[in-house]
Amino acid sequence: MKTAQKNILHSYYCTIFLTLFLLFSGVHQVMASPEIDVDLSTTEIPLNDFAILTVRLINTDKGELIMPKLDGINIHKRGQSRQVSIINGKMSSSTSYTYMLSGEKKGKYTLPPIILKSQGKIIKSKSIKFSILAESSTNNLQKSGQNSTIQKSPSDLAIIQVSSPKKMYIGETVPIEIKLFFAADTRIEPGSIHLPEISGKGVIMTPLSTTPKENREEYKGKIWNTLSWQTTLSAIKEGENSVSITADAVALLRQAQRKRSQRHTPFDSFFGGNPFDDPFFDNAFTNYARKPLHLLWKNNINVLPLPANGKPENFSGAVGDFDISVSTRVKEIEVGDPLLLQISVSGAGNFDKLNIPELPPENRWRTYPPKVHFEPIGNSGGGQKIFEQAVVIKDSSITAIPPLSLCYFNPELKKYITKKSTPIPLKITGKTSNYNEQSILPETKTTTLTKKEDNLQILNIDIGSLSKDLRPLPQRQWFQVAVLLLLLFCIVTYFVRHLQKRKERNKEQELRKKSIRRLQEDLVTLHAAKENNDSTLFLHACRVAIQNSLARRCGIHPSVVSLGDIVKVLPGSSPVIEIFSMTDTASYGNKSIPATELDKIYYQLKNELESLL
Amino acid sequence: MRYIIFCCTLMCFFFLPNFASADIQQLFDQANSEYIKKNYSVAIHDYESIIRNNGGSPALFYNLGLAYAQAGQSGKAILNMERARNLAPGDSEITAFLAEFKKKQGVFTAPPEGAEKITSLLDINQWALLGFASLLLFSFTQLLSLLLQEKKKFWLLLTNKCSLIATVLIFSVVAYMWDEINPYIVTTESGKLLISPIKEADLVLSLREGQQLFPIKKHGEYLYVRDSHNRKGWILSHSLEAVNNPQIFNLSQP
Repeated sequence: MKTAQKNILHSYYCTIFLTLFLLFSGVHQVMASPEIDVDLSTTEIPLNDFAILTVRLINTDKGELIMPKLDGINIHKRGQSRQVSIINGKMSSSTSYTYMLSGEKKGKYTLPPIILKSQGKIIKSKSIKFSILAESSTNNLQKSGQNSTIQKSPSDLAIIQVSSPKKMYIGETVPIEIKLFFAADTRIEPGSIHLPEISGKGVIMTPLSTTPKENREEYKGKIWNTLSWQTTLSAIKEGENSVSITADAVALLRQAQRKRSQRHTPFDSFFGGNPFDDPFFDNAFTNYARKPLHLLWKNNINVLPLPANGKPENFSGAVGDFDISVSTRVKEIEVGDPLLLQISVSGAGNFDKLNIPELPPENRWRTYPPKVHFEPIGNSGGGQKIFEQAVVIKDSSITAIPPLSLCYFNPELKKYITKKSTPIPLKITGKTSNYNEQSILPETKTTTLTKKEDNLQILNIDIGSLSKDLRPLPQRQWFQVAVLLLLLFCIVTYFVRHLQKRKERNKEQELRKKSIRRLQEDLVTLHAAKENNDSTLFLHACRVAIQNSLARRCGIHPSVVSLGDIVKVLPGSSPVIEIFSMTDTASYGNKSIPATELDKIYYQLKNELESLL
Repeated sequence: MRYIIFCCTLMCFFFLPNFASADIQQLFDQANSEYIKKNYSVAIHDYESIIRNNGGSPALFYNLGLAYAQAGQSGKAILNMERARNLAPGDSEITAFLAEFKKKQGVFTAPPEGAEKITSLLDINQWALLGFASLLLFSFTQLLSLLLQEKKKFWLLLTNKCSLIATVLIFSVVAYMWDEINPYIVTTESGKLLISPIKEADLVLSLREGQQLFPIKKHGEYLYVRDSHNRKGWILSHSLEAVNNPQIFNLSQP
């Protein structure tokens, strides 16, 4: 029992919560900024007719609507409707007010803005321009009260009109307008109107849109419902060409007329009138005769050849009037990096014959076939052709993208025009790329280009040299062996050098030992001569000792060491020089030394020679 | 007669490889034409059969990468582009395209930091070649020193010492890069790095197709890997393919 009560209470709370949620979400929508939208069913209203003025209040249904007053124009309220929609959880509401707008005299008018005073705010609608035309002939006919079959000639029922040139240049594209007029009082079988078609050899027409512009016009004192197409004619063959444009439709001619209000209602549509004027009801009560209408327009167009004089070499066949602009997002780039140039050619003419304005051929950059797309502007042959050209910069000396030239024939000026883009300054960083020439020059041989959406992809055509080893160098066996061999070689040469040095060092030590031994022998001789006071022998022993000691230093044999050699290897103040010169003098002059001097010379020489070792 | 036999042998020696390469070029052209016709799966098959039977070239791997890219297999595309770059590290076109493609696929490559700024100046092949060149120079100066015992020049000693220092430094860089010498690429869409080598293991992180990983060890079907941010985990080995995989040349014709 308690559980049941709990459930009831729970569902009660849920209901309150949901109600509050919906209420607040509704309030939120009402609180959204209100708008006002105004629409007039037609801008050309016959004097005896009216147009429907619809005023839509969006996000509000409260407020005061102030309708403008206009001299000669009557505005009468007809009804009101409200629409609420919930899309993706968002609720919106609008209230529509319908008015009948009719005129009392012909002329052009501007309906001033309609004012809405809501939530303390004043909101104004846009102003609308419209014209009041002469009386519609449809109603005149109806006013005459004819009940019998209305016999009308085809020209009374429908007309075709084409604004076409008499002369064109070959390749020239000219905007034209095809207009079909159907008498406003004639019913056309739904779906019976075929798109106009062109026939003729020298001229082609851009396919027509399936949604032509619908209008109601006064022509030759009559009111017509019109369908018009804006398209272009292109001349493809020189000479006098007969061109015809045809269109087909089926008119429904009334054989018996029901008495029914012929006034327009808010449900009027282009050909059908109000829903109760539907053929179902008509066929039920009225007889209709189907009358096929074949509309034909014929003309001769003279297609002229382009003048041969002054035709530039790079003329590709573009005829019209164009402008060129080149841009790139990148201002600073490294050598080897791709740069995307956007070359935009805008204007009017035969864009299909318009080739990409090319960069001058150079080895400092590499270009690839561009990605091209065309954006038409309007239906009169105008547009913008955009070439996205990938360029790879190969040289750091480039300072700018040079101007690109566009050459075309202007049929109005009747001469060839060459336009140039402005150069784009570029800052190139990095060193000049070392591309091999084979891959740069015969571009068509080595690479081809495919496109996928935004991607610019270059397919290699030359397979190049094949390898069955993908491992990096340090992992390859030959490299490891080569490095090991070099290391081994370095180690061997190091040890050989070490051994050599050691050998040299040993040799030096050996020689030093030998010198010491010899000096000691010489000193023994000297000592003996000194003890015997034999000055001649002493001086000779001195000479031999000096020669033996300094021979290695002088790099010559001991027996040929002279005073000159000694002076070269010893400092000038050395006592050895003096002693050696004394021995020289003694040997040539037979001079002797006193015995007291011998002891002194012995010790002096001994010290000096020992220090020299 | 001997002269004629000699000439024939010589002609065979020179021209036979050309005929063989002409055949391969023809196969390559055929694969390219399939690519242009947008028969990407046929083009992939043709490129791979050339690689299996004859080996690969930068152009071949690059085109195969493009075909995989067009076929929507971005992992395989990056893998083959990496292979093309390994074979031709100086090719700026391959490098630029690979960088652009990776960027489009959202495969982020972390910018080098610290010592990596120096090591990333060249790739491992270039470093290895530079090291080899400096080692060669050192060996040469050693030999000269040996030969010119008495006439040692200052420049020779200077070159010898500098080349020795350069060799040591450059091979240190190669040793530093050794860990990343054999990268793997994630080739499946649902690559997952797991905490342990079992199917039910917790997820460390989800991997993007084309992401680079470095193997550490293997356990059964699983590889223990790390990514460029040093995040480690286990991954099914068939989700990856080695860039330097020598098996691609040895597979039998399917």
